[in-house]
Amino acid sequence: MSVGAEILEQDGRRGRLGPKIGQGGEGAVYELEGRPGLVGKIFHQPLTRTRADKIRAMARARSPALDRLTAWPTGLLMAPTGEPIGLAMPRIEGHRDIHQLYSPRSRRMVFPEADWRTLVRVAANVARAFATVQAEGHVIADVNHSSILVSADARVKLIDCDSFQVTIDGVCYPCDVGVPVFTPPELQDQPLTGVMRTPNHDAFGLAVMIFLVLFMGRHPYAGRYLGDDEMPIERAIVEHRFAYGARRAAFAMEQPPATPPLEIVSPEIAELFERAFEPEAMLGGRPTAAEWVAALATLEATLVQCPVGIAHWHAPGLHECPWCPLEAATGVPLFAPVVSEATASLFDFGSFWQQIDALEHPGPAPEIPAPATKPKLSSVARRAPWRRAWQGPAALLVAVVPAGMAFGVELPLIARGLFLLAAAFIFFLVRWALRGSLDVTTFMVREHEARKLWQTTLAEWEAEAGPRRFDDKRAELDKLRAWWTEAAGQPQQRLRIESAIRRAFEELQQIANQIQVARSALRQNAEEVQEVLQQMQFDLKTVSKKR
Amino acid sequence: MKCAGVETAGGITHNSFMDQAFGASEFADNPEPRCPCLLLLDTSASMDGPAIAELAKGLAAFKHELALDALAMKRVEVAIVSFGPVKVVADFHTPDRFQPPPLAAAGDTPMGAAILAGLEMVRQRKEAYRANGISYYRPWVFLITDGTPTDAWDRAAEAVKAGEDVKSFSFFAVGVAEADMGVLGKIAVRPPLKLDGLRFGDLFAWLSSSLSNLSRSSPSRPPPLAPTDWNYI
Repeated sequence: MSVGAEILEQDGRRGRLGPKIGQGGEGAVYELEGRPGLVGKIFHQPLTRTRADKIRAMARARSPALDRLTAWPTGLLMAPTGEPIGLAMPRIEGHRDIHQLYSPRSRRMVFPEADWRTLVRVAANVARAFATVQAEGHVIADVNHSSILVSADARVKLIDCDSFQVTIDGVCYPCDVGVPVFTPPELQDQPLTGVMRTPNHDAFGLAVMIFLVLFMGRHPYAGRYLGDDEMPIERAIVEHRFAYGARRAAFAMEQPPATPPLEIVSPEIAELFERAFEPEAMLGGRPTAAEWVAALATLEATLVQCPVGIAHWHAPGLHECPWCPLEAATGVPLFAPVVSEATASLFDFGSFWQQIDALEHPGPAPEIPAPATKPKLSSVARRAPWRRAWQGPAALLVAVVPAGMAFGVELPLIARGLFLLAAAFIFFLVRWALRGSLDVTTFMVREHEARKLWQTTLAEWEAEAGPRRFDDKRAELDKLRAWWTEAAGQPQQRLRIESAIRRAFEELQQIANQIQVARSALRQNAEEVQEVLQQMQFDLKTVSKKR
Repeated sequence: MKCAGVETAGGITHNSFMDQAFGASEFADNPEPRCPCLLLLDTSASMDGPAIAELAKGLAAFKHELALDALAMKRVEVAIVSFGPVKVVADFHTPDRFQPPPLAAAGDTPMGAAILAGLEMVRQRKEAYRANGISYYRPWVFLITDGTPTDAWDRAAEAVKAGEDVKSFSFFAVGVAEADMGVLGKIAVRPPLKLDGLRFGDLFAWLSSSLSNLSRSSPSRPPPLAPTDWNYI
């Protein structure tokens, strides 16, 4: 069979093959002359009777729902002799293989406008397509990276429908093939010929596909295996070594480097992945396509945009954007909005810079005003002069008793001397006892400590309420601006600088905010410290003067 | 925007899951399974003239054909070691990043050293795949020569046999013109193939389509090799 060959459609219409538009393992795809909406898939091997019956039955079982989401066969194609050679199906345009979407490098080229919102929506649409096919009693069975096509606006089409396991009018037409990395553990390592496939089998392939889409093309079972032997994906599937699962350590697996943790997809969806890949799921109970649709629709509706990274969208409630640290660690842009010199308006540099300029400079840290009231002496200092004044007289008063004894009473000379000695001793003892509270050094120490506290407080005030951090960040932005100007004609380079500028601007706003907060939060404390210092200084001055 | 992990001096934040492995960036950019293919090319003086020119033309076409296949483009990785003397002229890269290098014929034929150096490259590449959680197909090593080894090749032959025994790679030997097919038969476990004339173009067309087929298959279940049409039977 080749271009121009005569063919016969199922309804007897005669036609010819047009140009060849595709080539697969099983057959080649041609345009059909005079049938713009259809293409013909011609198989390399002659079709068996069962295969031809399956195609005829499928054409009979077409439905609007199937037509919307799949390339469902429209009829058998035959050679002019009547020998079945292929099938006719709707032509699908503007779609690309799903693997072009999920790995970052090809995504940047083939789906330049896709961000994580797109990926979540595509994942939901894949689940919708599965749900639709299964709702009509069929099973996709051979899930693989080339059997799903995606359009730029996230619509999904399932192709190679003739390999589905279909049940029509009570007859089950099986699927004999499968791609191992999408095949559930219970079907690994066995011939698939004649095996009855179930929606629970599909649910494994669907979960793997959704994982690939949401996790930047990483396969859920492709991890770092901690053993020494080889761990191909098929073996990891059989042994339930889900590399991102909560139980991965028990299965001797680690996530590969530079991959986000499972939690980034929201707790609900993380749970769906755990259920799809747990050993118990071999008996049934993997999340159904409908469950995926519901959970992914909820996720899509709650996505939040990262204020920093370009085109970064993520699940709500995360403590950070999952994509920023990934991009920083690898230097790989995960999402690339279209940029060229012509469409650089994506980032309107001028008006963005106006926003930066419009951000008010916080100005120097305000002075801490001197306390309005004049300092009063503290009670300790107030008592000090009194004590000093009374120190001598009090001592004298106490000493006068033994002194009086010495002179007032008839005594031997030696006793008089002893009493006088005792009086002098008592006098000095009392003065010594009262000495502590009089010592000026106490007030000097108090003043010194208050001054030290004030200096620390002032430094903190300058740092937190002053403009230094704002000025530093602003200088960083000016440097980035210079780099941006130099990078004219290098769109990818500019994209990265723009990302840094957005981040720095975000931080600048945060800093301006923090400065205002600091000014009101730290002010009262600073004022109090200053008041204490002034009192200590006044105390010291007073006490020293009155000595 | 506080990171759970540490803040490095450079201000780049990263979490524990960000610990770098060799080549982490490349594999984050393209995490598809890899089919590594190493070409050991004889560029000794005897290859000078039309042979080396045809070889270079074949290589350019090889890249072009692989790049037409979207999946092979992401999965096949090509590296080249030339010998005369032994030199790594291209490390493993996917077709979009593989540049067919200019080849100059000179010197003798240190085939044994070239094989050992090449197998070491394959081993290291597999290690990088494993460290990064990238699945891979059994590597292909293609030895293309028109002469007789001028160094000791028995250790190389042992290494090839040992590697083939544990399925750590598939080693193919292709003889051109006056190549010593007897020695090639002792080095390779598989029967060596003799190139028909200088049909390098056909050889590389076959190789690219075989690698394309391989890249569409599953790593553990490679498809049977297509019959070769560029060799003497």
